[in-house]
Amino acid sequence: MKKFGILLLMLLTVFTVSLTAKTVTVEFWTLSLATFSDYINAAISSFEKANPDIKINWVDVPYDAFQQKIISAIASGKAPDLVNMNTPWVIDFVGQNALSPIDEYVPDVDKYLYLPNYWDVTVIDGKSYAIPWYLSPQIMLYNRQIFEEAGLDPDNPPKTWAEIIEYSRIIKDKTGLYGFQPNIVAHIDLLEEGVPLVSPDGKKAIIDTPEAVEKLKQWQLAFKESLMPQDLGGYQAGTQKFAGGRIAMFPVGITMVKHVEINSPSIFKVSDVTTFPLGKGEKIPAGAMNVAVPYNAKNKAEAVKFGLWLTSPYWQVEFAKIATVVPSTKISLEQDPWFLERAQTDLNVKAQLVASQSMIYGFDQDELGKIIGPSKYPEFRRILNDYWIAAIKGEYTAEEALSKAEKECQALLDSK
Amino acid sequence: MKLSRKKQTYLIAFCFLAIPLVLLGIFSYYPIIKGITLSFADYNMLTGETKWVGLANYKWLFNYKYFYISMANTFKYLIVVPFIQFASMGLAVLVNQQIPGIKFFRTLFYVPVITGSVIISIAWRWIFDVDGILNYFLMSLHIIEEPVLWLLDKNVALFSCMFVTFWRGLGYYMVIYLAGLQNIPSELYEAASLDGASGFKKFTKITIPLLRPTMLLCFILSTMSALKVFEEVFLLTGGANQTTTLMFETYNLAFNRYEFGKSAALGVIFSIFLIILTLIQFKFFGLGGVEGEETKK
Amino acid sequence: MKKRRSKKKIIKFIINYVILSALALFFIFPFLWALSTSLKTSTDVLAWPPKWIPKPATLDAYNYVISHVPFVRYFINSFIITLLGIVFNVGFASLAAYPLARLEFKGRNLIFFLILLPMMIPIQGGLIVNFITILNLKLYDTFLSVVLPSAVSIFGIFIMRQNYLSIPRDLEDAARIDGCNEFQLWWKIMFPMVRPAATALSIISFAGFWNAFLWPLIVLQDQNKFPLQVGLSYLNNMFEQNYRYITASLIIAALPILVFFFFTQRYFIEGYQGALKQ
Repeated sequence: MKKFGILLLMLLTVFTVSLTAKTVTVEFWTLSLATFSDYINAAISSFEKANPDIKINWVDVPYDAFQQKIISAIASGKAPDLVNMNTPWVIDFVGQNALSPIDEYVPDVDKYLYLPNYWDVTVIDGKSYAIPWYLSPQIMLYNRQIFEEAGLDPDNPPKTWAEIIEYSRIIKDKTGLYGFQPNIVAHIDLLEEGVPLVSPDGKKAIIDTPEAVEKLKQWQLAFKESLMPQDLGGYQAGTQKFAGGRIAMFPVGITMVKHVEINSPSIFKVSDVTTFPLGKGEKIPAGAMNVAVPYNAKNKAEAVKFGLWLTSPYWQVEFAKIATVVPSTKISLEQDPWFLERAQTDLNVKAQLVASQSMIYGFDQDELGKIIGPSKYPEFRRILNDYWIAAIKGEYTAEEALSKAEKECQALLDSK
Repeated sequence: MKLSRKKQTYLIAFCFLAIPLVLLGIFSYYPIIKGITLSFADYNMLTGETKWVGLANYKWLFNYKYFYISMANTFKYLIVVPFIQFASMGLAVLVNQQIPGIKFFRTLFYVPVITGSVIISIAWRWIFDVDGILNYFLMSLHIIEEPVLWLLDKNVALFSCMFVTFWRGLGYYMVIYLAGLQNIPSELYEAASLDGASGFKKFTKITIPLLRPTMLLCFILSTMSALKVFEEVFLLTGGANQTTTLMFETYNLAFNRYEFGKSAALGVIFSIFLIILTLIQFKFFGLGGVEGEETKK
Repeated sequence: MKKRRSKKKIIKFIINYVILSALALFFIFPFLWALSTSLKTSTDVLAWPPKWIPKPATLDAYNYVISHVPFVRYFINSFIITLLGIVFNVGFASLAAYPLARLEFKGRNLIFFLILLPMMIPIQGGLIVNFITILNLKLYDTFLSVVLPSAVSIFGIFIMRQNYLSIPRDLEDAARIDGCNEFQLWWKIMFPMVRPAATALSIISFAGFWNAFLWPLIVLQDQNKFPLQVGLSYLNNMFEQNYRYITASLIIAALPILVFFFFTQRYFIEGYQGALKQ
């Protein structure tokens, strides 16, 4: 009888203990990162080892379907607990009240580890909504061979847009090739020059400034003189041209360096990187990826715990070793011997170092969305870009275009 | 107890239609009705929060610059219809020959119809590139002196999209016209030959008239398809440079601006256009069935 | 005299094939670009002027794709989904179109018009609403959920109805005199007569379901259930767009439809013929 009693007591204890030590499963979505499964799984298993009652269920979603899938999930109550999103989407979703603030789950000690300009990008109305993850800063790729052909010093690449135009003239003259292909997006170009676009309270449109006029005139010149391809094609067209040896300089995000390596090794061999040209605003665009928590997620605390783990300096630097990214943490790769050694021979790594060093100028090109609001922000960008591009093509003078753009944007801000 | 003839017919019809109609109801009608209802609201897709605003969305649309631009573009897109139709008719005549390997050619002509969006996007963007193959070709033949900004110039961009629609649709309608052609008994052509009719006469007096039912079907399908165009705009220009169409705007409003109510309102207005246009076409051409049955009574 | 005539014939013959080939080139050049890219070694994918014929040609990309993607499983999944889709499409369309064409009852044309209506009402968000419906029906992550929203093909009903209308009345009268009830009439006589339209519809449905990407991705969770297009999309990632792998995978996915179309052309055309008969 006694033996039976002890057995029963043991069983009861195990039962109640297992009830209280319930495993929580955190569903985690990433944006098109399936090929990094080894890395993500490593981060996951180390987390699970340190937190035995939390399990991570990782789902990767292809980029093309991501928006539809996450909207469907949140709308139907079947939201993931932690979701990898770029900054514009975070801002949009916060505007729709679809994300949960996370301050209560983030100790100050952890918050301190991140670059403040990137943590603050997703702070809206005083509440934090996302943890910054990897950054894709812009650098400038250039073709040393074309430089040499044009008689320019490949170790002395241009540092400002004005210098780029000078160099482009020489390159066009001596080789007939295009000098550069930029990715022209009005609001980013203007922010780089320090044009605020909107007052801090979001009520006044500030577009028509002398710096804006000067920049637009610069583009118009480059267009007219054919220093850049006249299709103003985006980074995809630019990558194809650069990889085809048809342009000398390519200001672009560091992820494109790998594209060139994969699709055109011969050009990659003669390429080099330098910092992205610095405009008057001393800002270099660097888009951020983040992780956020949907408002109707079921396991918010655990999700944030894993989010902090995944975006910790150690794991971000590890990620930088296998992907061309730059960590969003203060502890980054500039001092890391692994990167310093390889930068001599691997252009991808050199690009990462160059990018990392320029992060003092780093800004997220979509932080404006917070001030303008998600329902007007796309329209604001569209108005601006339409006039910008039309002016570059010569349909308006710079002054005309900017004045019109400012008027229409003001009307937009004033509207309901 | 035996039901009346009439009631019997209803019952049988019901048995055949029940399941299809239920499925249509759940997966086609329910979203539509929900959408129409929400066009009168400020609806948050993500949280379900609904704020009824009456006709505010509609009023907003009438003041929206891109409402008019997209409508103009949508109607402009109809230009593509006669081109696709006559070209596919010609193609069908061409592939109607029973020569060796014709099946192979027909398959090749059909390829654009099933080509996925990824290839279309990459390939055509590359062709329309300012330094791309098309400009290279035209300039070396001295047809143009300066490169054309196919996807960038707002006067040309929409037509570039139309060309891709044209390219994609030819094979599809070719097959339908081919079927229509093969419906024409060859004896008619033989008799006409015996009577000494020329190739041209045979074409205009036999082929075209007997192809009429096929033409009506294809014109209606093609028109609807042109009015609802979305993919080509989405893949080639992303709606930029004034190429937005009604269909693209409904997508843009819903998923880029998260204004689902406004998107739904636009959808409603758009639907009214489509329905009226289709009814006109049905009445005008009387496509065998709906109109035909009514006159039979 | 004979020699001149046959010379003319030969010239006509050649011109014919030249025109056909030129046209074929016009239609398939993006495909040719994809094919050529998929056979290149990594050196020259983006070279300018573009090299059309890869020298050396290699099957590297294909090997990579096939070994890194669980091809057979995705193929089987696509096959199951497509088969289900075709069965539903043809089945429901032939059922629904029958009374609309052959039975006389009030409201018949109204119902037909109502069935066509959704084609003319483009409202966004249908995907999200249908997803919630699928969840409520507890069908999430099943093949059925992939197929169900498109199980009834409106275009299918349209062409089936056309085909039914062309069946001569006498056939029906004769069967009725023989004492058939409605269902026997349909199953034994009417349905077999619309085989042409059914075949045409099968081919259209095949392409639709085989190429489906967005909806299956939304409604399936288990990776082992992924159809081909979904599985292949994972070859793209945030950082590396390897054109060789992408094009190789697209060609592999497109081949079944092309082969299917090549061999079943005749039925396709006969199908439309049936639908177009007056």
